[in-house]
Amino acid sequence: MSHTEQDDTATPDRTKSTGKRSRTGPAGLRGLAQLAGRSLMHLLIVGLLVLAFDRALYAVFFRQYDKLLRLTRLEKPVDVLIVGSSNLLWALDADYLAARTKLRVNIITIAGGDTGFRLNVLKEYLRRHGPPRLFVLQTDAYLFDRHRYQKEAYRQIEGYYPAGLLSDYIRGRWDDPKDLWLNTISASHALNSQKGYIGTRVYEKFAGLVEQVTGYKPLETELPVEGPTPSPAGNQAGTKNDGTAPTKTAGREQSSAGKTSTEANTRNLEIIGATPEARLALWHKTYSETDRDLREAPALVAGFEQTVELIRRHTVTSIFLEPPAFPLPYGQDRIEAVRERIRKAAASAPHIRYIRDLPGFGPGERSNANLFFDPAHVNVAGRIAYSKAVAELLIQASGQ
Amino acid sequence: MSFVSLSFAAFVLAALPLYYLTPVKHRPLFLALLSAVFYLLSEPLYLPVLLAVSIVTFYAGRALGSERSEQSKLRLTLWIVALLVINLAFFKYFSFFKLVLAPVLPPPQLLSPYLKVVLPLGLSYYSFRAIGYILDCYWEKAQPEQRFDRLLAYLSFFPHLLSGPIQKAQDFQAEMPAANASDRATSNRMTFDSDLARSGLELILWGLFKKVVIADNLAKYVSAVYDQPNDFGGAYVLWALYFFAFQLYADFSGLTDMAIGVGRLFGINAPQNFARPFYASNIQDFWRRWHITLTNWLSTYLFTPLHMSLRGGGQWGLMAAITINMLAIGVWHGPTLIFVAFGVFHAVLMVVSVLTMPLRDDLFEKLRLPTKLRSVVGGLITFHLVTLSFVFWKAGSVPAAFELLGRLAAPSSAAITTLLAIAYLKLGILLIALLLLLERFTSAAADPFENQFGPRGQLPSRSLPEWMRRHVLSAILIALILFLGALDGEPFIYQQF
Repeated sequence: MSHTEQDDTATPDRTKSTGKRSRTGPAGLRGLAQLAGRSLMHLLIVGLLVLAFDRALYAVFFRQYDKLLRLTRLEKPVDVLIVGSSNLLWALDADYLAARTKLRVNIITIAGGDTGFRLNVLKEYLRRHGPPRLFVLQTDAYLFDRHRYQKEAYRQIEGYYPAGLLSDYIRGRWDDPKDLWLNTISASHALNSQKGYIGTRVYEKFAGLVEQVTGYKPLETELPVEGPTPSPAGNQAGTKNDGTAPTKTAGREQSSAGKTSTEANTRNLEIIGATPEARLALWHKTYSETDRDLREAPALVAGFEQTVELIRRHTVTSIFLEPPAFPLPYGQDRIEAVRERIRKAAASAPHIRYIRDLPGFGPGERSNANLFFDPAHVNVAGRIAYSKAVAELLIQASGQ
Repeated sequence: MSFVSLSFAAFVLAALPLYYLTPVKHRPLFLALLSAVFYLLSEPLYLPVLLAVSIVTFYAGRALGSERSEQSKLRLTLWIVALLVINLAFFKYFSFFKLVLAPVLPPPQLLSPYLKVVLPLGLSYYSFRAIGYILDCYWEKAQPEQRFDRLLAYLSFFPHLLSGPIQKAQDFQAEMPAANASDRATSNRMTFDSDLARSGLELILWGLFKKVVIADNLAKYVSAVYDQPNDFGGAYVLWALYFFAFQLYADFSGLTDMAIGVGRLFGINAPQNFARPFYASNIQDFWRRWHITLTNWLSTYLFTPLHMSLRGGGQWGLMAAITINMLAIGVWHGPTLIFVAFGVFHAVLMVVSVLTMPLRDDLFEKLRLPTKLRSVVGGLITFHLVTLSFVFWKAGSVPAAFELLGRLAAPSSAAITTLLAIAYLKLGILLIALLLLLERFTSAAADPFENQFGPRGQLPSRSLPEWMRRHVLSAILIALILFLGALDGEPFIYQQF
């Protein structure tokens, strides 16, 4: 076919592209009113259909996001409520804890879950059920660091908004009226920030089906686990490639104690060119640059203080748990000052304990780089070891 | 002012009632003024360039209409076309010329205040429209405009100003009422047409869907791989190459669909710019489906005259005409080595395809292979060749492109730091499947509204009345935009050209 044929094919064909063209404009005011009435009716029908599809999408895809489902478990009373951010999310295996302790455990840990989020989860729980048997609050040494939580971290939890949970908290955090408006009218938009995660889950279901039928797996990687919390410098693994805060990443809970998505990732995703020595060098480099940035944010301090106050007022048996962190010699004086403040807060009430080292996960494990993915997050091996240690703690602390 | 912005929506919504309250005969003037306001709001500094081009084109067109001597007409045409080309080249290729002439120029600090030249908004598009208009006046295919506002409305029509489509003058003239108010035959042009307006709204929605759901989500994975190619290997890089092809298509076709859609709200129809290009069975077919109005423009005003003048050269003449045409397509995008390479690459593909077409026909006939198989195999090869050419485009330099292509040979693995990007990879695969599914049921000539849910609808929902099918599709697209849309205001790729 010669190049000159382009002329024929691209000639605009108005009847094709617009269907029949009846230029029957409205005749006078009456016609205009009729047209306006018809248009309004059509808009109303489209609006109702949008609402229906929007709710249908939410209903279908909400279930792909199991962290959302876990938060909805706030509607049910539990024995142990654990609240924190990605540090504990990576470090604890919910199914293992439940199986080992025989307790109803609800772990609400999301990347970017700052002290305000933790306070509001506890508030919501107390409002619904009163104090749990045991409340575990993640209190790490970077708790008040203004650079730790990305500004958009709360988008992680916007999916809870249509579920009617934490709505006051989330409403208060919208800084863009357009976002507030969109999330108020659209339930499925509340899942928008988790679309990467939800798409992954749907893809894997199809890929699993294809594999079953044909034996071929289109992509070898498993679902990404939760991206780590941004480092104090905001320059940590998981943040670099697409410019999106890792707090937008969603994570999947482990399906069982023995087989985890994390293991699959470790098997299938290699750290290209990164030997253990190279990783340590990277950690040192990253954290040495953060030394000067450990300034506190008053709002984060206030969030913590209000949580302590709430715990005191409701006499909630609580543990302030410092998650595992690989020791690096940077900013130690400031970190120690934060730790001291947390210790003091814990000491202010007899029903609060501060715990850093656990039997089974003490200084020896903390300084074992083989148990860590990065200085603030354990890897699969670390997760297994830490979950075992925390299970024993829960059994002991809940008085079983 | 981006098409995907509340300010643009507000601008159009405010302009529409005023437009339809204006008497029909003054609507071209209203459109010209509206486009000037749009330009002022977007890039006021270069409005004089647009006006100067319009004035020169207007008077040149009138002169061509009144001139009797063929030789004078030819001379005038050549002068004006040269002037318009020089103007375009000055702004578009200034940085290139500066680079080339750097050794002979005075020290840069002496000239620096004058050396900052920014490409005026839409210059490539309105310059091409102006050149086409002059040539059509010369060839007597278009009527020289006697009213400046009508020509200005054509050259600067704001929905088409930023990224096309590049509509021919006679097609735009056919959308306007005749300059002579007594011409009843055209008195209903530019009047409100509910069918056209509805199809415009549907096209805007379809374009928006392609932009914010498909293109901007694919961009997240594409950027991750192109920014850090060493973090990915094998299949991961291959997916990024595919993704960019679809991203570019969804981004650009979404933009022009929206432009055409907005135009229809004002009663102005325009030719389509894309027709399912990834269903093309060979490279010629691809270029009949991709950026159709640019290809058409070049075909009319460059390829055909060249081919005619070189026809004595036989196959060589044809090859030369094709090569120059494809080079022009490449260079139109910018004066960089990458775009030259893009043009050369496609010229080679086109020449090889044209020359081997008879051989391939014979081969398939001898092998007695079904036509369907041929189009599938040809389609896959074409898609991969086009995708390969886009690698150079996106990478920005030849070494960067080769570095990325080199990663294809690496083991299929990804650094653990890319977990989030890989989540978008899997989402992206689903989105491409969704796009292809929606387009699969459309003919090459229209959007899904006109086919899937139109009179020739192929879904079981045919039992629903047509208006209901259209509403269902609209509602699905809106819900998907809310659910999956990347509403963070990514700029359109093609607005830079």
